[in-house]
Amino acid sequence: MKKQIIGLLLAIITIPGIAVEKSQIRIVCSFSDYASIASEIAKGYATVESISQGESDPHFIPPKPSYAMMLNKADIWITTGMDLEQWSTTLIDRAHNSKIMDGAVGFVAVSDGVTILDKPEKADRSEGDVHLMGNPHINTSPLNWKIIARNITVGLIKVDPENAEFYERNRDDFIDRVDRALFGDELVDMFGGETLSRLLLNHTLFTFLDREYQDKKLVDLLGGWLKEALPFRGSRIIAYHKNWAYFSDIFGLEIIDFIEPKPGIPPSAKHVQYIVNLIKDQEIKVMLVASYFEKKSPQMIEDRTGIKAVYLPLFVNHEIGIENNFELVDYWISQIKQNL
Amino acid sequence: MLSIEFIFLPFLGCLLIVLINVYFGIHVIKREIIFIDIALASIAALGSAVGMVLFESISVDHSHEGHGFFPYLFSLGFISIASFAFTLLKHKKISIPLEAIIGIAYAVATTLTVIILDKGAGGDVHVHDMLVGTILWISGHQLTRLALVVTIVGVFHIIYRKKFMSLTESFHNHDNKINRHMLWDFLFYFSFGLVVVEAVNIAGILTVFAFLILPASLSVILKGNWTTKLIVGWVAGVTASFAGLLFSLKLDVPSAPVIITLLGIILLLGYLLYKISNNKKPVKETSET
Amino acid sequence: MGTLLFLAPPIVACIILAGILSYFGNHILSRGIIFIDIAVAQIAALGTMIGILLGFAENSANAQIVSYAFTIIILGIFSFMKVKNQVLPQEAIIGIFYCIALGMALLLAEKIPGGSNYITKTITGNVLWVTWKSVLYCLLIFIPVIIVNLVMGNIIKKVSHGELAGNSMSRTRIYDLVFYITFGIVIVKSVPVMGIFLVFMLLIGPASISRIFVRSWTGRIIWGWIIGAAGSLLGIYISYSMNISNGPAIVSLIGIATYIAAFTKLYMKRADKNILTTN
Repeated sequence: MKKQIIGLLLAIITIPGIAVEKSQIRIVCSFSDYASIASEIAKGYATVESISQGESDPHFIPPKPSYAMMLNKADIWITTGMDLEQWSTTLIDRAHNSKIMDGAVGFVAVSDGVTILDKPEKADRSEGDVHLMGNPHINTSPLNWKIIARNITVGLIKVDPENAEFYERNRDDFIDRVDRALFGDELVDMFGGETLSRLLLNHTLFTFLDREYQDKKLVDLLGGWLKEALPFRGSRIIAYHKNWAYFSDIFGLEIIDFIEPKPGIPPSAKHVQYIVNLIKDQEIKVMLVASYFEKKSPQMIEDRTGIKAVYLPLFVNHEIGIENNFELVDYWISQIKQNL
Repeated sequence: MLSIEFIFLPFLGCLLIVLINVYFGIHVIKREIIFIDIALASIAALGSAVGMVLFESISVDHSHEGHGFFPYLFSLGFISIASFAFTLLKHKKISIPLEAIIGIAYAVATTLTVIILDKGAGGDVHVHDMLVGTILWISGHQLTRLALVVTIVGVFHIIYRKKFMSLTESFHNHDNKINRHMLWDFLFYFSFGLVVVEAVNIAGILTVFAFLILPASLSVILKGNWTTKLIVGWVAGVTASFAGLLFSLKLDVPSAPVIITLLGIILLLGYLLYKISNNKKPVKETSET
Repeated sequence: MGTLLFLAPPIVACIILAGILSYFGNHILSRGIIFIDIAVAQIAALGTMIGILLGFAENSANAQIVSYAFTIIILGIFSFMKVKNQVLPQEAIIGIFYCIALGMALLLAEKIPGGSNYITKTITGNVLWVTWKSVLYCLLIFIPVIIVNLVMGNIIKKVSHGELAGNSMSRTRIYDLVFYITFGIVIVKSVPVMGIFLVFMLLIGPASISRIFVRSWTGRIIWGWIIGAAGSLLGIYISYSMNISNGPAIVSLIGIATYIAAFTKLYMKRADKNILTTN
């Protein structure tokens, strides 16, 4: 008798749980950054998972069985949409889920509409990166988050049109938060996030802000990350690999050269000498290194040239306490400021 | 039952690889050219890279399934050249072990691939894929190709097994080489190369290497004739594959390390059992087979 | 002139390593355990990963100690596995160790940030970044290694050629152990600096070339050194002038040279009666 009552109680308790679970949308992302943004938009209406976690090399994903199963049950698959996640093609094939294949309703390519940097001139690969379509590390710029959010919202609405308003509201809310985090409240209130973003993208923001307003310059009203980053705006640095293009574009860092522009190919003697001289001549103090790289080579470079290697996680990573994209950029800016 | 169905195709793939690799493994251990499959895989990759760069069939859409036509042709070509070199350089004039020649080929192939990809393409993104492989995602198409190659090479070796076995048994004798033998040496390396290309594409270098060496090592330790050796190896390989795939699902880890660990455990257990059962008999100073 | 100064530390590093690796390479060739250095490198990397998992920071002294300790333990097991009538060749045993170590490393790679960098194929290094300080540390570690091998050199040489030390298997194993430990130390120290393939090639390549043409043991070591040093220098020069990745340039150069040497020897007309003497 007791057992039956307990059984009944358990059933009653779990039923609401099951009911809620059934109506939740399952979102799977390639990277934790996209997952973070997706959570902001879908909030409680979806479960969001990501395949590549924090400190992992975005090019290498160990083939765990759970990935295929995750994808098999997913309603939405969020990926960059350029050729960064080359490991995903086999995974998607094997997941046998027609909802999330390229072109289907549940496939979201977040790079749609992003202004791509480093597009190669020639169609073949001889010049640059493995990445034919340009630099795919779009998550490093807050401006791109807004476009990512828009793309994710479109996907969500396709899959769940009933709650369109809810998603749009969250999206606008998120976009507003990004604007304010980037420019500070005052300027956003005066000119609106969109105008400011357009100016920033066209590299005309600071000319614009040089204007007089009342008895100061507009630039004095600047807040947020751009203000935090002012001290190092215009500084020259080196990067280990081309991860930071979008970040440096917005925050005014001049990345003079790369140690390993082509992944997996160690530099030649000529390039090494060139870099060593460059660092000395231009007195470059900082080298940005994504934290998924091994530390031995950057350390050797530090020893050889006196430069300081600043290790930054490329993505949101709960394990080290970076819960979302905002905290990620906070961390990046504070680390760079400390070392420049 | 999602689990069993999920590992069905991968298991078939493992089965095929175990089938052919245990056989080759016994040969390889006797000839003491342990790392030949890793070398052949690198050489094939080099051929692929050259083919890709020369015919610029590098598309943005990487299908892990097929080989492009020219890259495949080139990888076979390079394997032939390597097989030829290995055959010629097993000669009494050359006072270094063949394994050293093979090792050097491995290093050169890998580094030349890096240089070619550097100059011709953009970088080396697929290194990890080749190491771990994606056997859990094996497709019907890949399985069919594998089955085809294993069957062709397998049947060939069944027909001419005496030739190959006698070659291997006498591998370390420095008698005068009759020219006829050279042909069979070449065919040995080349046919193995064909298998390696398919198997590595699916299961990755590590798993293929493990299937080559670990079960065959157990067979060699337990002695016995060829048939016994083959059966021991097959049983070990099949068991480890099945259990390995299951555990990989349960623990949610890549399959390669699990299968290898199991193969290692089977090897160790087999060795210990053998030692214990031997200690029960009067101790004989036996010479090896 | 500036270039030469800039390239000086790497050149010196290569020359030192060419020498010490030529010595070990000749032993390795005699023992027929070619892939031992790749196995040792992977085992050491696994050891470092274990150290990191135990809580030590990535490049801390503690992690390094764990790595060395782990490597020495495994090498100890390996040397004590040698028996009189060996059914399974030592190279196969090395293959087994390598395989399992790589498998374990793959499993652990996920749990460590940057874990994929401890897996053999990706152990790149670039000798071009080496500093004088680094070179000095290498020398400091190599000196005891050299001394030990000078003192025990003759016996180790005998063992490498298949004989027993003092007619006892257990004594032989001890000498084996000493050899492997000193060897292991050299590998573990040099791989992070130069990358796995450069170390491998400097170990096997020059020794092979000299072995093909030179008969005396000491001669082989010396010629191996010369060839290794010359190959490194030429490789660096090519890397510089043709703007090719440095390590791969040296490795390919020496490797191709070895093949040329082998084929040359094959087709040399000179009838040599004593070809079968040393191996």
